[in-house]
Amino acid sequence: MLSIQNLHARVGDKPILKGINLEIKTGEIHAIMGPNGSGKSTLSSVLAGRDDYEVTDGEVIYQGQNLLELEPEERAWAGVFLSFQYPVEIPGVKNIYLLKAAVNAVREHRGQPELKAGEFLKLVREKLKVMQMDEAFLHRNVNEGFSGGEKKRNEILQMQLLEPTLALLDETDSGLDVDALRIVGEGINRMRSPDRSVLLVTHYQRLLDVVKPDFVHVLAQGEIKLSGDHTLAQRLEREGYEGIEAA
Amino acid sequence: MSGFTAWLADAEDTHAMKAIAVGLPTKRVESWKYVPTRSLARTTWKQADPQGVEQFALTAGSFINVPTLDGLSVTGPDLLPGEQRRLNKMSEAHGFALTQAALEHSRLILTVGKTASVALNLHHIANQASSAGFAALVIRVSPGAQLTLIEQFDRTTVEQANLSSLRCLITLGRDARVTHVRFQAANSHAHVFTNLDVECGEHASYRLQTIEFGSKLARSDIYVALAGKEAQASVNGLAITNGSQYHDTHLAIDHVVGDTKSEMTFRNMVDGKGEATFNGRVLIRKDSQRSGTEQSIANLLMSDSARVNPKPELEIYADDVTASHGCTVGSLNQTELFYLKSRGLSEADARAFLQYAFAEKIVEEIEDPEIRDLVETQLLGELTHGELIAELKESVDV
Amino acid sequence: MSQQEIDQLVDQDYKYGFVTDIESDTLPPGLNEDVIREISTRKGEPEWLLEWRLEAYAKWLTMTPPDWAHVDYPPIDFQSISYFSAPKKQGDGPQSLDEVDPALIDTYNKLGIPLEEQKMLAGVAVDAVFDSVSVVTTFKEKLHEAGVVFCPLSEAVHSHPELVKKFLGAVIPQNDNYYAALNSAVFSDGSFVYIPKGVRCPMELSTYFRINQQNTGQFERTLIVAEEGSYVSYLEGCTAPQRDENQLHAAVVELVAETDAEIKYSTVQNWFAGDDDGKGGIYNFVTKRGECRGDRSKISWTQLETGSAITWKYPSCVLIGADSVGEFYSVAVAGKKQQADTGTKMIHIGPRTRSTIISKGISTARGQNAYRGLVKVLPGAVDARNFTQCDSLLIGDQCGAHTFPYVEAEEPSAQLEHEATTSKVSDDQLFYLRTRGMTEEDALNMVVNGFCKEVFQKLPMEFAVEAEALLGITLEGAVG
Repeated sequence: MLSIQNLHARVGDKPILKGINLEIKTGEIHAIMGPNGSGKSTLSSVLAGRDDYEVTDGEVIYQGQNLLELEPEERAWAGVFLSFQYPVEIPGVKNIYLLKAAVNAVREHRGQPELKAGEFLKLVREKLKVMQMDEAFLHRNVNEGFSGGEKKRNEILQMQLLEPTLALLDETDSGLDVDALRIVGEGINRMRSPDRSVLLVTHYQRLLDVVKPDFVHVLAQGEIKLSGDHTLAQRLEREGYEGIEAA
Repeated sequence: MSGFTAWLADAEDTHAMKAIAVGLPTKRVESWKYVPTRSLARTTWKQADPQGVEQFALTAGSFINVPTLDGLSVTGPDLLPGEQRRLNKMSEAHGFALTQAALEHSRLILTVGKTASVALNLHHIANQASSAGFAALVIRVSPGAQLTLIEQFDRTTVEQANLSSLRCLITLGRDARVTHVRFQAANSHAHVFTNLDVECGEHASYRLQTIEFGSKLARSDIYVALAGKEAQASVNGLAITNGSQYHDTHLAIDHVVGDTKSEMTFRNMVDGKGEATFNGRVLIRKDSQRSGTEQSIANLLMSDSARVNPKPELEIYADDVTASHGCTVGSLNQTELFYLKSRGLSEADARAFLQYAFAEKIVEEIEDPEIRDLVETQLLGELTHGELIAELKESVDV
Repeated sequence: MSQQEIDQLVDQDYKYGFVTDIESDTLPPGLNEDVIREISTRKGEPEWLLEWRLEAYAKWLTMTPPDWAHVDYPPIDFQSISYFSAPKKQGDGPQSLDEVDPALIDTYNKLGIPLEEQKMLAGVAVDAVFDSVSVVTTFKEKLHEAGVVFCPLSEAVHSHPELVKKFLGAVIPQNDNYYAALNSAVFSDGSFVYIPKGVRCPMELSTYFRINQQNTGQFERTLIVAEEGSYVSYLEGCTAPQRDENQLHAAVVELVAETDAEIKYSTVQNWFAGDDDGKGGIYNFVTKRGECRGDRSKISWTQLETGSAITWKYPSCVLIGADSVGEFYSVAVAGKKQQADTGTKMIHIGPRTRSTIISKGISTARGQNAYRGLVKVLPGAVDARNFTQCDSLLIGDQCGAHTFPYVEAEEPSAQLEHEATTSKVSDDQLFYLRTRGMTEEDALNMVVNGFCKEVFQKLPMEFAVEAEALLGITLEGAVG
């Protein structure tokens, strides 16, 4: 599904990613863990096509295509979804406008018929229920005045509606209380499927208790220093990152 | 010399003579610094007769079809001394203000009776080529009365230059409330001048929403005096300036006495070769203690040739006050664009979304649903890729 | 605190109000071509400079004084002002501090700026301007070694004529504004600084200006040129003795920064502000402008303005070079019946140019303080950035604080942000500090110093100390 080879990226003159190699097969859930400043968020932003970052070397192949050549919206059409660490507030635009516009844009590019208003509302209500969100959310402005937890739930709601093939979840657990963490985690679990892959980026292990990854990678100083199964996450929780960073 | 000289010469009053002598304001007149006066100078303006208008309207300098409404009466013709003084002050500002006074064709004085509640919808219709209409409207809102005044500057099909000028005085008695909406969608040959002078008595509340899409050249001078304790004023506005349009709003709020509150929010979105000027001034006088004001001005530049001149001014002579203002200029936010694109929206749609969002923050504040819908519909027409949002609104809004 | 107590406390006499008794060589009042010729002759200027002055004078005659500032004063009678005054010199002027008139040294001592001490303590070269002519220049040798030229402009006209000719009026044209034109016609003296390519000036350069002669206009002119990759920090401090008649001061300062050069220009202005009714005091009408000509060049203006009856001053940056940076940090205090109309202009021309404006206005007694600034972004100044913050503090209910920020933006990729607040010193803050044992005055000082911190931090160390002390003196008794 996704093959990252020797990926180097920088912001301005500052190199952040220094040769990332990662293979994600269809149906797998991978977790990237690492201390602050290790390049975790850069990795997901680069994969989603944020142009603040300059890729200086390496390639990313997604379903046989060169992902790095695609515009952000083309990546979305191709099934890549990024859940933002800090979801963006867009005052003046109702949440439901964005949801419907996004769903139909993606459907159009997948050759699926556009959802009529009634069908869309039915679908969105179903997903709201899963995320335990009130319908009033639809008519509020995108993320404006949302609490941290509401924003993250809104991200996962979007993911459920867009049904991506590859979901990149950037620090989705940050800023969540215990209940919200469970709801968001279950929302992600619900999306588990043999033809969908997930890349979880997180600092802590607690989300991984709810969403059990197949593989865990430790990112430090712009490189993957260590890979293993989900038990690696528990080890990190006990021992911290120091030992790995020194390695 | 201006395009009004011949007409002024015919008018033969003192204002007219002075207006001829002074001429149109030049760039050296601070308040007219950015106003392009070429088309004013080059058109030979003339008076026309009203024709083809059916609703309550100001057309060719005349008010026609003044409605009969409970609580509303046509009064006058005499101005009260205070009103005369305010009009005189208005005409002294510069050469064009003198012209407005000298060529005034008609004056309508309306009174909203005590504790009455009146809704008034005035259309401005300029439908004759090279014609200019100058008029004055004086509204007295009695103590405890409520007025909703909606002014619409209609888009007509006249192909040549046209001009409409209204000098408007509104006086709010104690506890009076006025909600004033101005929606200017005049066509691209229109020159629209409005001078608005509002005086708020004790505990009165004045709210103005001004939306400016149309015209070739539009200039609004708005002055709101908070003259009674606990009076408050809120003004918000949106101007979308495109093509070779010029929009200019000079807004001043005067805290004449203490314990008064004001806020102003203004947004400019400028595209093409458009130019927009916004001057927002708040004056807190010497003894106007415990007053508060907040100003916020946001400007969006959409093209390489667009230009914007925002200026938020605070002039404060009392110490126990809170005053703040913020002003930003920029283009669309890259992070917001990325967010929308990462959800599958095309670049064009994402840009339209953000432009819509920028404008909608002002438009959504309009309380009257009918006029709000009208403004929103036209707003989408103003945007290059407004269709997607129009469709969305239609399909998912309940 | 009662109004009466406030009044008493506000009633702070000008500490530096004395007149130095030096015999002056002063021209009679009046301005015409002959006076300009006389100035030029007395200064032994070359013909081209006289022509330049006369040209400026001709332009000035066609101009009118600006009337847009938020200040109010009776029309100035330019014919009642004397346009030249120089301390009498023996021989060719002093070669060392010992040769300087002791009365002058004494004056500086009273001001708390003894030259010797400064020399030792701060390593500062002091080019002191007493009235109109520079009388002493120190540290010349050290600067000479580095290749830095730091001398009176009148001297540079002879020693570096090609540089003066090239840069004089290059940033501020003769007819830039009414007072700049007047200065161009009659300028007396000032500093000339030239930093060659790649040189980091080894010390802070400093001049102190004083106005001494009654009815003497002072028209300094300063020119600083920083060549590619050079750096200089220049300090300007001003104090003046008390006078009953208003004195006009119309200076011009021009800065040129080439590629990768940086100029830091700091001012502490503490001229006589007039008495409580606005009688006397300096009219300070100054034109200061710097051009960031080269890529990545930087010009930074920092000022503390506490004196003068009227201040009309807008140190500006023209950002021409790509990635060039302009900064303006200002604290302006208007007490008594002072009027300050000050701010800056940031003109963005080159791509990715950045500017920062931090302005702190303090108004007390019957002072009127206005920030007036322009941020202009021309087409092609791609990704230009400006951040402006104007905060005003009101102490007492007879004063005023005003903000007039002009913005003219013509480049869609530019991002400009402006914030402003106006407030009084919070009673809560004062109360809190007093419960911790501070006097009301100390508490006020602390709050105001905190308010100004951001700007003071930008001053060179030895100036920051003076600035804080000066602010303290200015505010003594202004508790509201």
